[in-house]
Amino acid sequence: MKINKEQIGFIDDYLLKNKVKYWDVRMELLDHISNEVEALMKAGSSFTKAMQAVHVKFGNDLTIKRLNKENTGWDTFPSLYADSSGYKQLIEEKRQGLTKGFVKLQRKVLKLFFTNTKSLIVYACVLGLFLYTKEYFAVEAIYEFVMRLLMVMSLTPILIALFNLKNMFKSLTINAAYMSSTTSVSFVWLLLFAPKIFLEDVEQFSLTYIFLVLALLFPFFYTAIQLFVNQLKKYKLAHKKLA
Amino acid sequence: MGNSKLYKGSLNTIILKLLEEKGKMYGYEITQKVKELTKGELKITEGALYPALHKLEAEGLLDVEVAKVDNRLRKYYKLTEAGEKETVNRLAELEEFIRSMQNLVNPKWSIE
Repeated sequence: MKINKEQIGFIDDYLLKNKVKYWDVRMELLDHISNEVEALMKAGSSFTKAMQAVHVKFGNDLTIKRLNKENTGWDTFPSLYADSSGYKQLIEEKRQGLTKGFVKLQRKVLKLFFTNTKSLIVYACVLGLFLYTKEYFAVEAIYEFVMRLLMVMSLTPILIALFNLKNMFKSLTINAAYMSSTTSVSFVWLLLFAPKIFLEDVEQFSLTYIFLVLALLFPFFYTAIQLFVNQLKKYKLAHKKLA
Repeated sequence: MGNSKLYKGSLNTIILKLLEEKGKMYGYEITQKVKELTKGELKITEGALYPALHKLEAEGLLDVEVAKVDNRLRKYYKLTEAGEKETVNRLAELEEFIRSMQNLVNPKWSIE
């Protein structure tokens, strides 16, 4: 038994009221719940009863307690909006799954960076440019340029996110991809600036140190941006279908 | 997750194997297929299935496709090229594990 458009609208509204705010999670849950409800209705259940059964199946409480008119005891009612802890837990577990997956993928993409011709050409060009310019510029100028380049690269996910706010913060997948790429980049920045705590003058950084920083961090930032942009593209396409 | 903790560690492999056989599947379909294949012995809960699917997707082993079905959007999962290779590896690992467990639980003693 298929449910109608109004009933689908009701489920979407029910999920929103139960704080399932991410559109990608809601889209998938809406389809899953609709399938469950249809199966229960086929077995003879009413739409309301089927919704209540599914609400409980997802780990949410159905009963709401209110004081009776005489204020002497509690009356209990079934309500689809009594509790949404099951959905909250599901979203949290999904987030954890996504984060773990992105960390693994980032490691894989980083390995691929060194076998992919296109990325190796970019890498060789950047390092070659460094070796070429070091003959003509002072250490301070090169240091400043390299830092600015890495700064722009590490800020790229944030800038892209700013232009895609609507999609980003309302999608759990994009949100997790953004968090994993910016967290790792921030961690690397921290490592990079650790010597600055001990060395006050920029002059104390040798060209070898700057070269190593660039050589080590460039693949990391490059792949972090690549990963985030790919996820954003994929989910933007899905988001368009919602409209 | 269903009736036994023994299945828990194999959930990702089960998902990959089903997708290898069926091409593309959606969440609810996976739960029903597992229930059908195991004659109700194994019931995958939504709380275990979706985090596992999302982890595999984020790892780049699954790709997604969204299609409009019955007035709603349905998210289909399918194996990527990396996912196909990973399925072969994980199935080999699982088979090896089953063989080892069989040897442990039911060792064939022989006197030579």
